[in-house]
Amino acid sequence: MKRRRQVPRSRLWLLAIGGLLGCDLRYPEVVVVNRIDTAVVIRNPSFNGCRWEATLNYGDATVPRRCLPGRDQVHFQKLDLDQFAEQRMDPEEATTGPLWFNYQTVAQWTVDAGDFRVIEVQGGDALEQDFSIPGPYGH
Amino acid sequence: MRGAPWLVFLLLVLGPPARAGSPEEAPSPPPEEGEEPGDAAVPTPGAAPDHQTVIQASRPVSPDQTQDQVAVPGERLRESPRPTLLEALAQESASIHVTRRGVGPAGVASGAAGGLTVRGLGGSPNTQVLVVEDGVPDVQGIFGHPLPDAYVPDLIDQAVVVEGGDSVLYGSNAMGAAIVLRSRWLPEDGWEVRSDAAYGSFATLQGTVTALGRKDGWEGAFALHGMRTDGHRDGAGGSVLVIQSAGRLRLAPGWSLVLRNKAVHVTGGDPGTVQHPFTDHTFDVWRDNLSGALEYQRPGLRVTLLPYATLGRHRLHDGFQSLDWTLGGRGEVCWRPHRNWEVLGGVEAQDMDGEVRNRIQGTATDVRAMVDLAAWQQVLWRPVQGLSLVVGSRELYSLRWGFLWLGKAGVRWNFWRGWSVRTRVTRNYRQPTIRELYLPYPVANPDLRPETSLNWDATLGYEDFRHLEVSLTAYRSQARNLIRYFGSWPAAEVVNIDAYTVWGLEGRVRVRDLGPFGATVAGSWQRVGRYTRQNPEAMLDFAATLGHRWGSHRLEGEVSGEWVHGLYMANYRREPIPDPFFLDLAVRYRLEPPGKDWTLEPWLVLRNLMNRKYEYIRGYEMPGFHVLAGLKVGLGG
Repeated sequence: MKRRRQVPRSRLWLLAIGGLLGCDLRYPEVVVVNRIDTAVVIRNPSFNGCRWEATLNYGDATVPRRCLPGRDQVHFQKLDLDQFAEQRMDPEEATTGPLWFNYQTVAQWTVDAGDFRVIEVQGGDALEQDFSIPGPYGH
Repeated sequence: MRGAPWLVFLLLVLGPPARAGSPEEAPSPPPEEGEEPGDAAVPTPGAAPDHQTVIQASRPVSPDQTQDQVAVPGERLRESPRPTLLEALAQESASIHVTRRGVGPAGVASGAAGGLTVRGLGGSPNTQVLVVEDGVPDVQGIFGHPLPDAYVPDLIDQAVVVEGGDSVLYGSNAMGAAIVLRSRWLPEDGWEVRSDAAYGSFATLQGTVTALGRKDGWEGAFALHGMRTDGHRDGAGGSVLVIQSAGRLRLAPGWSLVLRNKAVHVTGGDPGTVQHPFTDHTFDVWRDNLSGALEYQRPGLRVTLLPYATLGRHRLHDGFQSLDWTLGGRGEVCWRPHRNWEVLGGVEAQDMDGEVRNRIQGTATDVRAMVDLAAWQQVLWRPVQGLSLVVGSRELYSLRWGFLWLGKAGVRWNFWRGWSVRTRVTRNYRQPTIRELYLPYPVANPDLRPETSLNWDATLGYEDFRHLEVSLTAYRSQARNLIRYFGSWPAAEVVNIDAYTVWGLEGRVRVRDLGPFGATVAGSWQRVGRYTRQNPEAMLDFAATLGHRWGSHRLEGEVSGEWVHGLYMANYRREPIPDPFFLDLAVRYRLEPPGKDWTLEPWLVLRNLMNRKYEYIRGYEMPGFHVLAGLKVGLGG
């Protein structure tokens, strides 16, 4: 009969403690993809404690980030390039920069520990303006 | 995460040891008639040894025996599973509410945590709760409140929370409570070095080294504490560095000179709400507190002269930079003309000032210094055995607001076999901060008046000094001219409000040394009216310990938790927050080989054992189940 090789007790302890310390590594990974429109750019999307400092053209995806488990909408800033082009044609507004507006998805997503979730942000009625942005506050 | 319950089971099977029940941590009974306060066991250097019996007794941290106080030994604070000192203190008393946001620094400015509320007073963020560190009121000159991240328990001998405050003894800001911290020294010649290093979830790394020494009338204490973490979500990380040093020289019989310094550096950021997180709302704070103390002591008399200075620099992500300083000094005489009488008197002067500018915009905001002078007196009379009467008065003169009188009166009667009853009424105050007066973040009002409060409380208690401690307290706080912020930027305003009354009940039961078992349960309920912002209706704090010692080994475990009810993010019961509730588990093993002068203590803290989703600040969700594991090594001592 083949003898089972015993694992040293110290290694078991290390394994147990290492597993516990790594519990936050099981936080869900989330990716946001811009699927609104070819003429729409979004930037700095956020979802349940995560924030990506990124600008996404149509079809672009963020890098995966670990967010808190829970339920949230995707919040972001939106720029419509068609509108911006029209604005540039107007001599009175030609010198002003692009206006980024705060938007969020109507839908909410739930993510749990261990999940890998790709969230595609769609256009049309799937979006609404986001008035929940906190204003500047004090020191 | 799902494995947490078996860890509880494992702990119960292993049967760890009672920390709460260890004799060295048992609170000593209050000094009675004829007992001399002070470091009675300190021998005079070079003096010939005599053969008298020396009674070792520490001077009470706070000299008013009629106040309602919670005393916590430093060792218990050091072993607490809570990440900060203020949270560890909140675990000991159900009337202390501390806002939290995660494992990182509490921080400053918008989104900061660490706000303290005691008996309905506090918040904004901590200006109605005063922290006194070795006799020095710790307030940031411009912001008028302590820095929550500046307190680490490494060198604390004892912390006392004076619930109901005491502006007679401690001055401005001691309205809702005063947290009085006393640092420790070695009790006899020798040296001691301790190291405590830990690593845990969210890449949290913390380490502490303390060193204490004493020889031939020289004493020294040093502590270095560092912590850094990524935080449990984007923008929630940060770091804390605290360097403390103190030296004491026994100059001549009865004379001693103390010099202390504490430097603090805190970096981090406001992570924002989980819906709208920030990654770049950073802060960078430096503070340095320097104080000295010249003390003369002989039987029946103690004279202390204590100058102090604090200097701080705050930098925020938006260009804000402030430099603030506080200069002050206090002299105090404690005279015991008769064994039944004790007279305390003192004078104090304090100057707070600073400068504010925006480094990006290149603009500066004018602020004016605040200077006040004060004298105070307290008389303690013990007419019969077990009965103590205290009256006190403080006369304060502010260059800005003129004369103000504060007073207090209290009585404590230990009437029968561990039973006691006490009551006290005190008039406290807080002066507006420079920020509230001049800094438009979000708004300022130079016409603000100081706040005052009239606090009353009464306690019925029982303590057998061995196993059981029970107390029930009723209190009422009535405040006038409270300073409150209303509205939101840009239409916000900060004004005095007319009157505010809160009353409530607190209870506390503590069982210790009951075999391997010890437990503490503290609960409170209060009626706060419409001022419900971060002013919870009810709180319950509990801890159960199990311990076992065999030979040179000791294993102990503690399950502790907190439940908060009736928490709102706004006044008028608006923006309710679901009741926060969590459980923590701490396990410690200690090896003390006989005849050796070293100890080894691995420990493990499991926080939010049930992986509950909860928050104290709306949108600032607390971390789920997470872990910190460490190793403590002691040498000497």
